[in-house]
Amino acid sequence: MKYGPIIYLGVLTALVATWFGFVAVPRRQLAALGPDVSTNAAGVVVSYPAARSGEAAQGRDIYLSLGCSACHTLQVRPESGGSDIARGWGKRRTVARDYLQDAAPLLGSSRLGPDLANFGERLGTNAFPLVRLFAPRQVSPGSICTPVPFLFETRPIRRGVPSADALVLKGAAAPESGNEVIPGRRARQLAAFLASLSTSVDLPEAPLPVAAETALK
Amino acid sequence: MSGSQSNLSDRPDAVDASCRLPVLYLLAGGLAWLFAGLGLALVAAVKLKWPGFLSQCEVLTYGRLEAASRTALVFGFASQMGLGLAFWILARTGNTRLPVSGIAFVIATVWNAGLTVGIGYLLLQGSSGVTWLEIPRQISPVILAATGLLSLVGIAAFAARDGSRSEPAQWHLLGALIAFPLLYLTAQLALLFFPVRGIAQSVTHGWFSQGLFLLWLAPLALAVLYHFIPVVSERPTASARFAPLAFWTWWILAGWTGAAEWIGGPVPAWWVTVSIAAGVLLLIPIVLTLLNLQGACLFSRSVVLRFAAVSIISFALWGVLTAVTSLRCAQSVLHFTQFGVGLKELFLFGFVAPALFAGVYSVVPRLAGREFPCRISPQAHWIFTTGGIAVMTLAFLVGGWIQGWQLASPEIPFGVVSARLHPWLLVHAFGLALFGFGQMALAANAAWLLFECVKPLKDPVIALFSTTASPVVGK
Repeated sequence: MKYGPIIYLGVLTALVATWFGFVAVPRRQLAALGPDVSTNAAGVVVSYPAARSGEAAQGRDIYLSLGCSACHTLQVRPESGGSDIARGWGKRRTVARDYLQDAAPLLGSSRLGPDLANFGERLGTNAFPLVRLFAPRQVSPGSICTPVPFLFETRPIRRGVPSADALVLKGAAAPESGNEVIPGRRARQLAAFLASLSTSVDLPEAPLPVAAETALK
Repeated sequence: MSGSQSNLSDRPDAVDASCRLPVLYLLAGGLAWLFAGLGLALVAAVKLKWPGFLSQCEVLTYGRLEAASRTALVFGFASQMGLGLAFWILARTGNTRLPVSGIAFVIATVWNAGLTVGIGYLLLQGSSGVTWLEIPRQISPVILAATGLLSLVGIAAFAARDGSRSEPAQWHLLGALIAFPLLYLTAQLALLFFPVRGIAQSVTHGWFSQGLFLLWLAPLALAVLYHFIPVVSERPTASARFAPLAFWTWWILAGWTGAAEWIGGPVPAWWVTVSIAAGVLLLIPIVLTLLNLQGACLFSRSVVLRFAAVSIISFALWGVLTAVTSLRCAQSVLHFTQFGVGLKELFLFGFVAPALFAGVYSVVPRLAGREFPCRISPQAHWIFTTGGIAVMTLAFLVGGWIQGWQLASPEIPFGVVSARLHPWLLVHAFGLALFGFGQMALAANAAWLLFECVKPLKDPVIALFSTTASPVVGK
């Protein structure tokens, strides 16, 4: 080839074509997508996905800032493409509508840790076990999850009465006697975000399986 | 290679002189970032095995370390070294001086400063949450501006070339210099400054991250191979008539592969299908490129050709594995496992890095005016680099495959899958350490070379009054 202009134009054209495919068209195609509005059993009109509570939204920023996405995905693949649903990580596949509230969807690309798209649901009615953040191995032995003790405060027990919030810690994770570990503000926010994670809503494009109640463990 | 008119016979020296400062600076900067990135990656690897290690320190959380090391390796090491070699190749093949080389040096300094602040911010304050755009938006425009201006310098060097003929290395460089600033600009606007809500962002993001690898790093590495294999082996490019086809098919197809990583994900399926198809078709330019780059050999006496051979083998392996495993049946097993990380490492450490090292061993002696002082060090560098790449990518390709099969069987609890991955993580960390150790050979040799160049100037007063001819740098 002899001429520079052919390369300039050719490369530019190729790039602009992919720009249409991956930037312009997605914006158009997905712009029309709105929340799913339905009436629940109690006759109340509900919209999905709902905005997160303030605490959970702040917790999402902490999830993002600590890079939790390096090891955790927030997406459930369909039954035809993986064991996600069989593992109890969700009742149905996740779809574009599930992420409408997210400024930056944290889909994730690695499962060094389990998927968390429905983590809040797995908790059931239990409160989030904050020990999981302070000493992951106490909850799941052998876990490679990075502990985040800097979101907690270790302080002397005041007036001999342990705080109701103090973590129940065993072994090497336990503080020196006379001290206690209590969650800080950011630990509570992160916990609120994780507890808020749930996608088990019946959507037209992704209906819930009828007998799914037993699938979630 | 360069213009053959006899009246230009003094040009090569002038060309080298115009390149010396910015190119050596970019190469040295790239080497420094390579160490920074590998150091961060090693700490991250240790933390995967012993999560309690340094866990009190928020700055060294695994997620941040991982993001910082990737950013340092791609934007610091590969991009800068690639750009430095690009300048030299464009000036040398065009037989023209590098324009505004002093300004290029200043811009490169701004780039390094921006990257340092950006990675520091990432570690201290946390990532922006968008892979490859983790540097916060207060700082990333600085790096974008530096990238754009340096690309313009390269494009200007191409435009000022002597004669209208051009060769494949120049095409790839020109493509990369045009495409990457535009990609980076679009991605910053669409993802950091004016993000749309929801999934449209993920598709755009896949487009950018694939472009970063296939339309920026890959053409930089390919250009180095296209230029230096014929020069060092003293044989013309093999099957040269395929080169234009290889170039065009690569540039037309590579940009369409971006959504393959969202397979099974919450994105409209047609993007994924298009990307898989493009990824398989990408084998055409890969095969054609391999035909062009036959001159390299693993057992050559030249360390340049041996690094080139490692690079080409990794490129071929990466291409085949990517195409085969992008199919839906394979992805249902391999998706989200370390296999994908292994493929990325095969690309970055196996294909791009050795190509850049081949360029470094060719260019630095010319610019410094003397050979690398240590003859054994390049051999050690090659052995440790190759061994490190083999160990770390095999660990993740094999370990990730096993991890995938176990994840696909829901009766195996997640904790067990995780525990069985531990040995592979350890082997991978060992490979990374081997690779990093090898880079010390290059750094030591480069430092010695610098010392040799500076030594004659150590006592300029005596040199001035000496009657014997004093050694002059650059001769």
